Amino acid sequence: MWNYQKNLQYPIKIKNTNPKLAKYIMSQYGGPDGELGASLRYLSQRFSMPDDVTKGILNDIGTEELAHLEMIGTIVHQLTRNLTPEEAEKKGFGDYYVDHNVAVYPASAAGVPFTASYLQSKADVIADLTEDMAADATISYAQHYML
Amino acid sequence: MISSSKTRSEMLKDVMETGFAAYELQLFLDTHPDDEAALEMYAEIVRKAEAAKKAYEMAYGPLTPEAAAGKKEWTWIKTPWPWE
Repeated sequence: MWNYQKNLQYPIKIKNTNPKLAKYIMSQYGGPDGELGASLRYLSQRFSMPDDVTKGILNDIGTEELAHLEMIGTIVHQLTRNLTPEEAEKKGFGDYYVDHNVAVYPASAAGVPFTASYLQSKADVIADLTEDMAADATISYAQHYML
Repeated sequence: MISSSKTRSEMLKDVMETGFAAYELQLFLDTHPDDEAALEMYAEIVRKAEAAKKAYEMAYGPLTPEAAAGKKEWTWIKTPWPWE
């Protein structure tokens, strides 16, 4: 089971409102290469892993991804918490604002809601770990394109 | 290692019972933060839960990675997984 600890894994303090950036970052929350998909992928695949090392690493990485999910949610929240409807409309956030206001919702940057079809779990250690490595490599794209 | 007459599953049941009770009291306190009886009960059950965890870990190994610290080998991945 899990126990909650009341701190972020890494401190996040954003003062500026930036809805456009929030939309991009949100993809890292509930998009195709986001933390929600990552945690569900590892935590689902761990059940059928063949040994202690693979069970252990997927259990613990899947857990850490949940901490990442919380950090990304925090970033999105802090980037939008002082947003006015006018600013949302002007800065390209209007379509998101219509459905979710300034809530954090798991969707991609283009607004596609999270779907479990972003991940696979196959009871095949090679297939699953290969997918995990491919998924892990997507973070460099996130960093490159967002920043 | 503390010798205990309890089996692994009995000790694990102690951990789960106290942990479950503590968690449900936590939820109650979230909406009744000033309930003195609940506060007292929570303090008592948390104490019992910590003791149950400690007793289990002494006999059967770590329930959290932190409890595996200070050993010559990494016992965190050596003990059975809960879904096994």
